[in-house]
Amino acid sequence: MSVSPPLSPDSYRERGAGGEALNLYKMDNLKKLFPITPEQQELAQKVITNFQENELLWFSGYLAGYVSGSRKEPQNHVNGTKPEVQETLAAKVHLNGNGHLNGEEKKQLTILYGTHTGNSRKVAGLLQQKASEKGIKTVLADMNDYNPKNLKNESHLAVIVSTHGDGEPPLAAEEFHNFIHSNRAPKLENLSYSVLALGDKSYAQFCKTGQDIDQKLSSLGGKRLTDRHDCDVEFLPVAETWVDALLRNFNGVAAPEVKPLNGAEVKPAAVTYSKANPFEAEILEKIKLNGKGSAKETYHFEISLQGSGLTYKPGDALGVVPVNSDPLVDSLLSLTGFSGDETVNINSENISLRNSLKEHFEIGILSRDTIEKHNQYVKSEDLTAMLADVTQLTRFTYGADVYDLLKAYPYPYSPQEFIGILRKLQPRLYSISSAFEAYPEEVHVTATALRYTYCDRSKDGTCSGFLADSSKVGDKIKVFIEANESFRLPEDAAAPVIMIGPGTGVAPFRAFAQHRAETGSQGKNWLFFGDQHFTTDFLYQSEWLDYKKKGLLSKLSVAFSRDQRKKYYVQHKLKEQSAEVVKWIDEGAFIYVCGEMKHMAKDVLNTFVEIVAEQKQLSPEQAREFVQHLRKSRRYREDVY
Amino acid sequence: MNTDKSKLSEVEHIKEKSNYLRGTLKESLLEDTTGALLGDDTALIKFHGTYQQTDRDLDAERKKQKLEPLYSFMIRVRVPGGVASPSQYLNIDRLSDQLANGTIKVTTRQAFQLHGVLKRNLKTTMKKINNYLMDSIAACGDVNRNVMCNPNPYESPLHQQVYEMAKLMSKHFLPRTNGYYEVWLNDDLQYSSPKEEEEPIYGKTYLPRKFKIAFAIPPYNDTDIFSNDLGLVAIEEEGKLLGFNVYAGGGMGMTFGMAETYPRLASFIGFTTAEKALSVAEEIIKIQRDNGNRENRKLSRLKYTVDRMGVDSFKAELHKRLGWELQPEKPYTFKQMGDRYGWVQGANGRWSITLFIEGGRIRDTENFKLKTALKEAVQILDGDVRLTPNQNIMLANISNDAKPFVEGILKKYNVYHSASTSGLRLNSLACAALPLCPLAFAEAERYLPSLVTKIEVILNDRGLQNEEISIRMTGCPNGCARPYLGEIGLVGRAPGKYNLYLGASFTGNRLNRLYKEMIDETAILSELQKLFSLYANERAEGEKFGDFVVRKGIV
Repeated sequence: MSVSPPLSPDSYRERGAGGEALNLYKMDNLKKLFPITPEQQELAQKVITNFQENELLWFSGYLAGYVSGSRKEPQNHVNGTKPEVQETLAAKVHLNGNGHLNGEEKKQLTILYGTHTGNSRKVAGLLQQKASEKGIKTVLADMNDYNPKNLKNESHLAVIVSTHGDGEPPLAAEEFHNFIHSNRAPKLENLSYSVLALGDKSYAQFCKTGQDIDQKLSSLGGKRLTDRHDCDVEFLPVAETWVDALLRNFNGVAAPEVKPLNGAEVKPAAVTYSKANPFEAEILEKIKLNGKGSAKETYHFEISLQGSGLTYKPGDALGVVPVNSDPLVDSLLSLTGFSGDETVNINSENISLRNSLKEHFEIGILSRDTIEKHNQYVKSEDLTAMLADVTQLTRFTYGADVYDLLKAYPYPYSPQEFIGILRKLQPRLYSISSAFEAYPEEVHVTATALRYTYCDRSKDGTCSGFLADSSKVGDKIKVFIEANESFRLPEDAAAPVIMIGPGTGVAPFRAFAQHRAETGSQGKNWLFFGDQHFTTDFLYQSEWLDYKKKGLLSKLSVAFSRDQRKKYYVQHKLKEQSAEVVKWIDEGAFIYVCGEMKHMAKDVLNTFVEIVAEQKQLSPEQAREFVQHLRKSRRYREDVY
Repeated sequence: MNTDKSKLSEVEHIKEKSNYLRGTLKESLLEDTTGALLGDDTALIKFHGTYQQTDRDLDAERKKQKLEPLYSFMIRVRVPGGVASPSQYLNIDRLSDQLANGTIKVTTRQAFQLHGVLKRNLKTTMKKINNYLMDSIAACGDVNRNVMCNPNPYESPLHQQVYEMAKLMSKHFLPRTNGYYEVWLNDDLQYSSPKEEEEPIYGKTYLPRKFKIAFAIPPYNDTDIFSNDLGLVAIEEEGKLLGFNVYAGGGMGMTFGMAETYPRLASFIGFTTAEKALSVAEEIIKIQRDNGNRENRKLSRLKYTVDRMGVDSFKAELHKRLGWELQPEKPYTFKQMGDRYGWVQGANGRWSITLFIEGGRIRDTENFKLKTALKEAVQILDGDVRLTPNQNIMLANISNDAKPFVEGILKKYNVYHSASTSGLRLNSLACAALPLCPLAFAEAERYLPSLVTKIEVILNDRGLQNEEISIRMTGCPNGCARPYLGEIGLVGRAPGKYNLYLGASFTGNRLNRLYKEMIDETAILSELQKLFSLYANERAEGEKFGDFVVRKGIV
C-alpha cells in the first residue's frame, strides 16, 4: 500500500485516515474530494487507470506541486520563459508511459536542472532559450519533478546541477542522484548528454554532485555531447561556454542561427542593482538581539533600500559584500613582510595591496583553488597529497585561512603573484527577515557573528565579522537581492504554514509572518523556534508573542537546548506535537525548514518521518515515502546552509 | 462594609472567579513561550507566596532587543516565628544557587526570599521548598502572612511559649484551599492535601488586603509590633506567660498624593489570656473580612477599617462577636526595636549570636564571602537558625563545645561582629527595591550601604559613630522596611530622590514625620550634617536622635 500526501488544502479537508489513501483514486471518493465536473472526473480517471502504483505516487506529488504554486513561476526563468515541463511531462507519462509523445520523431533535448538557489534554473532557461533560437525542441524539467525512470527514454539530456554543502546534491536533485546511483538505474546506451556542474571552490568537494552525475551517466553507457564544465561562484561565463559547446554538438548538426527579432537591441535600462552592481545601502539600525549574558551574538540589521528600486519577496536573500577586517589584513601583511602600500594591478587598475586584500580577495577562508595555486609555487609534497585526498584537505581547510597556509608553507611572493593565488571576494547571502510589503524602503537581515579560535588565533566570519564589528548605523554597505524561488510562501493565502527555524533560521519566517500580516492572509501559521537559552536567545520574541496575541500565529512552539540538562531541540518539540502536526499536514499545511543543514534539517526531516509513521500507523518506508512526496510536491521546503 | 459588586476592585473579581486561588496557574506554568504568567494569574500567584517581577535594569535594553522583559519570580518562604533548622537553611542556600539568583534575602518579616526564579523552574523550586518542610502558601496575598515573633531565646521559657502560639496562629490562618497543593505538588503523592474545600475563616474572596500578625516579648520590640494589623505583646509573670496585650490597626503603607492614606500605629484593644488569644485574633480577622474596603485596595488595610469604625466601635464589635470582653492593658516596657549583636547565653546555658546582614542580603562578593561563611557555620551548627525581624541572622542554641568552631568560621570570613561597624549601619533596614521590585521608584537595598558610608563620615567627625540610630530606606511608600518607624526614614520618590522623615522613637511607639520632600543625596547629607552637629552638641544624656529632633521641634 502506498500513501501520498493530500493534493491541496481544499481537496483534502474531508479526507480520512492515511490508510484509505489508495481509495482516493477511486471514482466514488474522487466525487467527494474534488469539486470537479463528471467529465473532468472521467478524464482524470482515464488518465490514471493504467498507472502503476509508483506512477500514481509520482502523479499525486506532481499535482500537489502544480496546485501549490510552482506552476506560475515565469520569473524563475531567464527572460520569463514559461516552463513547459509540467505539461510535457504529464503528457509523456499518460500518453504511452514510455516517455515519447505519440508520433514524435524529432529529436528533443531534455534539460534537467537541480537547484537550490535558482542558479541552475537560470542556466537551464538560458540553454532552453538558445536552443529554441536554433530550432531545437526542448523539454525543461526541474529534477524535483522528473521521474528518473524516464531516463531510459531520453536521447539527449543536458544536466545542470549544483552542489550543496559538503558535496551533497541539492534537495531537488537528491532523488535523481540516488536513482542513477542505485541498482535500478537503467542502461543508457542511447543517451547523449552533458553536465554543467555548479559549485563553490571554497568548498573542498567542489562541484561534486555534477561530477558524480557525469561519471555515472557515462558508466551507464551515456555519451558526452560535450565535456562537463565546472562553474565556480561566478558561474555565468563558464555556463555560456558550455551552452554554446553543447548546442554546437547537438546531433552533430548546427542548426541555422536564428536572429533575434528586431535586431534585438538591448536597451540600456535605468540602473538596476544586482550582484554585479550592488547597491550602496545605508544601515539604519543595528540591534544585538541576544540578551545580556548570552553566549550568542546575533544582530538585526535594518538597511535602507531607498532610491535603489530594489524589491524582494519573502524567502529571498540579501547579498552583502564584505570587507576584510584591518586586523586580519595587518596580520597577513606582517606575515608576508609587505607594507601594504605596494601597488597591485586588478582588472587593469592599480590599487594598494592593502586595499586589494581588504576589498577584493578572500583571505578569511582557505579554498581549494588557493591551495592549488599556492602549491604551484611551493610544490609541497604535503599539499600535493592533501589535494589528492578530500578528507585530508577538508581537515586542513576547516577553520583555516590564507594566513595559516602561508605560515605553514611560506613562499616569497611578489605582491602581484600573491594576489594571483587568492580567490575573488564573494558576497554572502543572508535570508531577508523583513517583508517588502511591511518595509518597502528597507530590508532587514539577521546575522550571527561567527567567532572561533584556530591555532591560537581568534577569527571572525568574513561577512558576519564585518557586519558585527565594522558596520555601524549610518555606514553604507554593498547589497543586492538574491531571489530564492524554491522558498516561497504557498500561493494559496489560506494554506496553513508550519515554519521551523531555529537560530537565525527564523529570519525568513519573520518575513513570512510580516507578509501574511500585511496581506491579510487567512492561512494558519505555526512557528517552531529554538536556540540555546530562553531568556537571552529567543530571537524576535516580542514580535512573535505579539503575532500570537493578534492571532497571526496560531501556534508558537519553542525549544531551548541549554535550559535543562538534556539537550532539547526543535525536532523534540515537533515530536511532542505529533498529532497536531499531522492534523495540519492533513489540512494541507506547507512545511518550511530554515537553518543549519547537517544536523538540524536532517533531524527535522527524520522527525517528520517518525511523526507520520506513528500518527498514520505506517511503516518507516511508507512514512519516508509520504514525506518524500511532501518534498517533491513542494509542500516541504528547505532553505538550509 | 456593604459593597455594590460593580464597584469591587479588580482583584476582588479575580479572587471570586479563581476557584479558590487556582485560576489558570497550571496553564500559565506550561506556557513556554513567555516567562510571564497569563492574565489574572499574576495577581493570584501572590497568594501562593510568589511575585512576578522583571529585571528593571534590563527592561529598556530588552525592549530594543525585541525580547520580552526578563521575567522572574520572587518566592517568599514562610518561616513562622523566624526559626529554621540547619538543614532547612542549607537547603534554601542550595536552592538559591541552583534555581534562583544565588542570593537569599532575609526579610523584615522573618521570611526567606529567593529572587530571580524563572517560570520554568518555579514548580521545582516550590516542590523543593515543601520537601524541606517549609512552604510559601500565604506568604503574600490577601490573607494572614508569616506570623512574626521575637527570635531571641535569651528568655527561653517564655520565648518557647510565645513561639508556639505564633506557630499555632500561622497554621490556623492558612488558607484551606487545595489549590496550592494542586498547582505545585499535584504529582507528588507524599503530600496529602487538606480535605475540605472551603475557607471557614476567609470565605471565597479571602480578606480585602494583606493581614500581618506579630508577637513581641518585652523589653524588645524588634518585631515592630505597632506596625502590624494585629500585634500581641506577651505579658509574663515570673517567667510564665499570662497572656497578651492586643493591638490592632497598624500598618506602614501609604500612597503619595493620596491624603487619605497614611502609616498608622496599632491601637490598644485589650488584654487576653493566652488560651483565648487565638479566638481574639480570628474574630479580628473576621471583622476585617466583613468590614474592610473591597473597592479601593489603597484603603483596604485594617487600619482604615479601625479608623472608619472608630476604635471604640471596633472594640464593641469584637466583644459582641466574642461574647466576652477583653481586659485593660497590662503594663510592660519596650527598650529598643533593633537587634542585639554578638554572643548571648540563654537560660539553658546555650549560646546564640546575631550577625548583621546588611540589607538582609546573603550573598558572596569578591571580598566578602558572607554566604559561604554562613553555610559553613550552619553545617556544623548544633542549634538552629533564626531570622530576626531586622533582616539579620541569628545562629542560636549553640553548645559550649560548638561555639568556638562557629566563631572560628565567622572570624575566618570576617563576618564576626566587629566594633568598627557604626551604630547607624547596625540599625539600618532596606527593602529589596530595584531592580526586581515592580513598585520601586528609587533604589534602596543597593544604595543604602553607600549612603550610610557617607553619613558615617559625618558621625565620626562628631563622635557619634557608636550611637545607635535607626535608618530605614524603601524604594516606594508601601513601607516594606517600615521606614515610618525609623529615626531617619528615607522613602523613594523618583530615581535618586527621597522624602526624608525624622523623629520616630527608638522603641517603635512613635511614627516619624516628613521633614524634607524629594531631596537628593547632596541635600540628604547636608541636612543630616546640620542635624547631627546640633545633636552632638545639644542632646540630653542618653537622649536618642529621634527623641531629640522632636524635643527640638525640628519635626
